[in-house]
Amino acid sequence: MIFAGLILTALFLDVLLLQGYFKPGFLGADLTLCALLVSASFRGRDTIMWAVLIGIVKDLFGDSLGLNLALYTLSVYVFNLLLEKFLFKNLPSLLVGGLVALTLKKIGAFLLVSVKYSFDVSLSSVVLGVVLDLIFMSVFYGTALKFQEIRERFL
Amino acid sequence: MRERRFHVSALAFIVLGLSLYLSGLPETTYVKSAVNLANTLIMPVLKFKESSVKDLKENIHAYLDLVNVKKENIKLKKELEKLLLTEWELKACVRDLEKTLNLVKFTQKIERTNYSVSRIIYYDPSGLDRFVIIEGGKDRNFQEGDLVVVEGKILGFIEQVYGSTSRVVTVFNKKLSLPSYVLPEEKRFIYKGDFPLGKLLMVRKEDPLKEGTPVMFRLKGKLSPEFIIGEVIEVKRGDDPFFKEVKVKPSVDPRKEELVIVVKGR
Repeated sequence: MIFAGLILTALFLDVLLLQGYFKPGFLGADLTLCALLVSASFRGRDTIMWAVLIGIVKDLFGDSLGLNLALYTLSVYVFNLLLEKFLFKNLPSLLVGGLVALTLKKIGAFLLVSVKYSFDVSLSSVVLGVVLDLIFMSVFYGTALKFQEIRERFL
Repeated sequence: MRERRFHVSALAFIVLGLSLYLSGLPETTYVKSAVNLANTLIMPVLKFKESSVKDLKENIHAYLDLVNVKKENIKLKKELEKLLLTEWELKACVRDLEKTLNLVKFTQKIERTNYSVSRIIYYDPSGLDRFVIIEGGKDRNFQEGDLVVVEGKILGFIEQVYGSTSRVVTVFNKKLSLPSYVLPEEKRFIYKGDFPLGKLLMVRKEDPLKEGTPVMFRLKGKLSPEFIIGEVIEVKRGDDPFFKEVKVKPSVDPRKEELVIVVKGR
């Protein structure tokens, strides 16, 4: 329940506030995907269903049905494969894996959107997006570790 | 999740997403109505976001305005203190003068002038600065014809007195006519307001009036300082066979002023 609440909060913050500051929005920071990737590093394969669900909800907020469904699922799927293949579970490895998944999502979004629409890409917006993604993942990972530690101590 | 099921379901959702996006299926009536329904459900969230962002912005602006108002209040308080001090000094001067007059047995009765500090609360929206509204009216015993001055410069006179406000016609208004004089000989003329330049009437062809001469005003029969109306900026011979055409630039800029002094009982 707590996890669902956090993911949905991240989604609403992402859609309602964060994306408006990046042009185009899909190349900017992605709070929801960062939360999903950090969650995948703790929960493993189960996160894929969350990625599907969040992808659909995010598609409903925009006018691109299917785009986020495909890209969120792909990113979390690839991240899970990397996680299982290299068995990493620390912050630097998470950041590298997360960066790969996020880059994959952004390149995919860029290619798919450019099929239908034309748009300008701001390099500063993309760089800022990557920096924010790394910060979000670090913060989420740190918080999740703390939360896990507290839970283990008291339960 | 099992190995095979995980891969198959992930790939299936990826393919489904791509096909939905690229096929244009969401444009079909049934899918579109489903999307519209979903959007309708999401709309309250969007409205909530819009209203909360708007409220937040309004609150931030209100806070910033409040900070400005506080700063402005401090500034005005200081100005008011200065003006009150000047008023007190003027009253002291009047007392001293009266004492001196008594000592030299000067018998002519000189009437005292009463002042009141007020504040401009509304400016002429037309931009021609023909009038201003000041604080105070019947409640402070202001009367029609009372002179309104700012730092020794004439702003205008009260045209209409309301309950707690008064309308002041400025030196830019055609309704305003004042008996005036120019230094050093104190030659007497009539100043008539106009925008952007006022006029000096009754200036005879032989009067040696030059550009840059200050046009002054003094209350008749009262103990009062002399006030400046403006400065002569153009002297022409004009079409009139007897009088010159003289233009005067008023010294006061109503939009830059806020605190004014009302000279009562003009």
